[in-house]
Amino acid sequence: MIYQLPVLIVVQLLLGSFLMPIVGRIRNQLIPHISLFLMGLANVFSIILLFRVVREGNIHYHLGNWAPPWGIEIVADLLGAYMAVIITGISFLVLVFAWRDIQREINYALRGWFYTLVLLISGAMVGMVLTNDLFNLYVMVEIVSLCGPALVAIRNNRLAVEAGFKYLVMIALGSGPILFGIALIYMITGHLNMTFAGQEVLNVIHEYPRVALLAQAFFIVGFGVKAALFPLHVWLPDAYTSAPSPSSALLAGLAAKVYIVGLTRVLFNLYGIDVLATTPLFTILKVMAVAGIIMGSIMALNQKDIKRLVAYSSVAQIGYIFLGLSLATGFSVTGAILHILNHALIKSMMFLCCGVIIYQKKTSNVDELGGVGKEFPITMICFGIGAFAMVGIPMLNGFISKWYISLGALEYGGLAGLMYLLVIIISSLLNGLYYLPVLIKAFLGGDSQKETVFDKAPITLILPIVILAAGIIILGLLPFVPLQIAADAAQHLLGQ
Amino acid sequence: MVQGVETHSHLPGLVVLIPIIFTALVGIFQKRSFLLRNWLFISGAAITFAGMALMGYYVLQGRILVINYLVAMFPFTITFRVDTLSFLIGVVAAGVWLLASIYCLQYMKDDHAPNRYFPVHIFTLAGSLGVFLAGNLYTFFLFYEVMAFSGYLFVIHAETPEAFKAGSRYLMVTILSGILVFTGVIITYQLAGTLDLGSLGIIPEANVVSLIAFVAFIIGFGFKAGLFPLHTWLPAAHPVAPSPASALLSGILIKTGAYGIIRVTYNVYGIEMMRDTGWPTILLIFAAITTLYGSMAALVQDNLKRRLAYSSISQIGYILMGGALLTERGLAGDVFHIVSHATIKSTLFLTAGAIITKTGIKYVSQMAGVGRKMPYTMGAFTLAALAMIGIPPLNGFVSKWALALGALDAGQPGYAVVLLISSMLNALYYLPIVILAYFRKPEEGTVLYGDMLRYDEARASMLVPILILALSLVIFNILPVNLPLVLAEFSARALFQH
Repeated sequence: MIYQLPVLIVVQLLLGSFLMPIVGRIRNQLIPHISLFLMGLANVFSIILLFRVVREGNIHYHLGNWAPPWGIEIVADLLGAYMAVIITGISFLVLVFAWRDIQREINYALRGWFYTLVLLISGAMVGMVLTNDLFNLYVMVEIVSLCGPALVAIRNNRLAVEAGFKYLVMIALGSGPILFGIALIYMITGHLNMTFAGQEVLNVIHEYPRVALLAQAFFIVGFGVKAALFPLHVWLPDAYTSAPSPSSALLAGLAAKVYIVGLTRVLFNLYGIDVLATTPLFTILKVMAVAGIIMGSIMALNQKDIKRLVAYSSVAQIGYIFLGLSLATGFSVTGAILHILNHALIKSMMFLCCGVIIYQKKTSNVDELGGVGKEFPITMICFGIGAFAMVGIPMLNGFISKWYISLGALEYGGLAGLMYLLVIIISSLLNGLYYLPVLIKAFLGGDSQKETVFDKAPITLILPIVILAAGIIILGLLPFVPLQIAADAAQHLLGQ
Repeated sequence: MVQGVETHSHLPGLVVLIPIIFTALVGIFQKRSFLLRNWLFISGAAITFAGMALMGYYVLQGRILVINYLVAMFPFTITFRVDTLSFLIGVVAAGVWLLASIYCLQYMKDDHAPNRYFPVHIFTLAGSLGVFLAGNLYTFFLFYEVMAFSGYLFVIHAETPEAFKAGSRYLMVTILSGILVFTGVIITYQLAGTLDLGSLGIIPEANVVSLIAFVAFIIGFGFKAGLFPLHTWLPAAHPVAPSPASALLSGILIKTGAYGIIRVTYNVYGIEMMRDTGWPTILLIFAAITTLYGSMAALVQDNLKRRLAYSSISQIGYILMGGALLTERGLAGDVFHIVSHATIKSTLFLTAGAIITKTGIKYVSQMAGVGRKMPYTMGAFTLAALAMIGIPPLNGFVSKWALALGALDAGQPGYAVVLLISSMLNALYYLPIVILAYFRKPEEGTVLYGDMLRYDEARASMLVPILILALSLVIFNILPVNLPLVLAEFSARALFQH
């Protein structure tokens, strides 16, 4: 039974998602209960899986008992298992949050579909981080990509539909290159299993250097669009801003990160670090990452809408992750993977905080948020914790990943390394400059002009935020487990 | 005293934890009852001070208290290490904090936001002590940021437009200082593989990268300490903060920068590398400029607290100079002046606060007659002013003496001249205040409230802390053994050992 776990989590979520419309026919009120139950169960399974992987090493599962290279192989390694815990955990909290929140944000008729989509996207995300099969990965990528715009457009107003459509077009443009890339790899290696294809690529790369390079380019563009790598991020601010808050939390916190995990897996498993180092890939990624860090932060400085501000900050943070990956030193890759994990927590929490603010105040304009800190201190303190984590104050998890990426920049060496360090610290400064005014406004900016909807926000809105904030502090103070996982993954990726 | 036997003790950890616990207690109970809040507030500071003083028992035996928490999280280990230097500055900080806490019960009585001020006041103590007792750079940086960000709430406390303006400048400086120190810390870790502050010099070699780290440290801490030309936040922030907070900002918080520079120079880089490379010369030059600039700028200020703030800048120049001279006596003067300036400047800011509460006077030009109205307060002010100028037997004299000897040891008599000039300038801007207060008759309509001709001293709960501080300027220096000086000399010697 334990060895079925990796696939069980995925199947259970996907099946659950298809069941929801039927449940809705029988009794609409049951949908949230059942989906919460399924997601909680998936989270428990993921935690068991993680323990199992920590104790016994990777779990290989062959779908339908067809051994690779023919059958689909699912591999639960440390990174995959940990990501599964994060994905199901955050999705669970988002569902708890959504319980009350979507009553405000989504039409009655569409609420059932929201749960369908959340279960579907979580299942596909878990599938994406666990699969070792290229085509299976593509299927999961497609599911996530289609659920994303739907989760945005489900708000069903003009802005949301427009943003959702834009998102759909952009992200669909990204799917094509990924499929091309997979096809090219299949063409030159004859394998879809990443392990086998990876071994074969090393043999054939001298025969087909251009094809291999082209496939690489396709992967970067495809996944880059989906993960909002600058300058392919244009869909992101609109999508995250106009989506319902739980959707934003899911998309920004998890979906964008999962694509990066997918891209890392594909590139490093297929080509290996030695081949990657001979191509201009890392140079391109570095330039894009640095541009993303700086531009994302600068754009965030000018935003008046709190959700938009948090969204632009995402662009910068994704730049961080790509910078860490593309520096390709032990510390920097560790830092990048840590930041994937840490930023998932931070960003989900911040979007949920925005959700509370919007729920209570019916506005997201920063200027109208004076004094909200006095009215709902818990939410704003959590927002502050997130902001300080982004700035990189020790004891919060953002500091740990910033530390390792900076260390990676120094390890990279030379003047260039120092320049990257400079970029990182400038970005910290900018993070402070756009987050702290919001906090100052919230806590010291006089009394709010807008009326508050409820005296006390419902517990289902506050609890997920508090849990995530606690996670940020705990992982900042005791970063042992994620650090081990990230270091292990980095070692594996760099083939040391 | 014998040097350095390391002893494990949870005392330093407790001393940092206690103010945090009391912050929570004050936060919880302040809405129930004022009396309970006041008791908790004072006992938090008092217990912390007692804990700090208890450490003296061990430190005077020549032991060094060390404790590591979260060792498995290396390099994110929380380490406290109390040697003589940490103890001396820590105990003075806790003592000044306790007195300022007693003072602010009365001062903040009719305040508009006491529920914010009281928890922040005691929380910042945890941050400052964490900085002074830190045993590695990670712990140092952690508490440095905690202290710096909670200091923001001191600055904006009045919630006036000027306060917010000063606050945003302070915040900008805090973030800049934080990221620069972060840069220094991370480069140190990359070069040394450790962040431990227990040894004398962990950077293996002097090269461009370690120079960059040094400069980042100096600028980062220079922002905090108010080194020219990074000082601009300081004269803006001090006047707008409530007086007990100004006393702490000027007396303790900016010293974290000076303390950081000492630790970086002597513990991270080590005296030998500093002598070989001569990097501290940059600091020395800027420190001398800071001294003269601060004094000259103070001359033309009419706002009393602003004048005190500029005077702080000039004194920080002395302190940084002492460390950058790279001589043992210079460093002893540096450490001793950190202590004496902490007490002198707190006295001055607290007296300024007492004058403001009693009369509403904020400007030097209005101060005629204050000496007759508030003789004890003004007496304390006078004593502190004389200490600042450097009249024996006050502690300001002792530190200047030590600093001047340090400059001569270093073969740099020019810096002793700088000290002399600055002392003269100190006299020029402090003595007129004293003369005005005692010997001029008050003019009509200069004060906001209160009768200038009638004796009307501040309440005992404000006056007693001021008098205790004023007494401390004298008492240690007329005792047969000048304990702070001995400790300062001893901590300097410890940093020069090979």
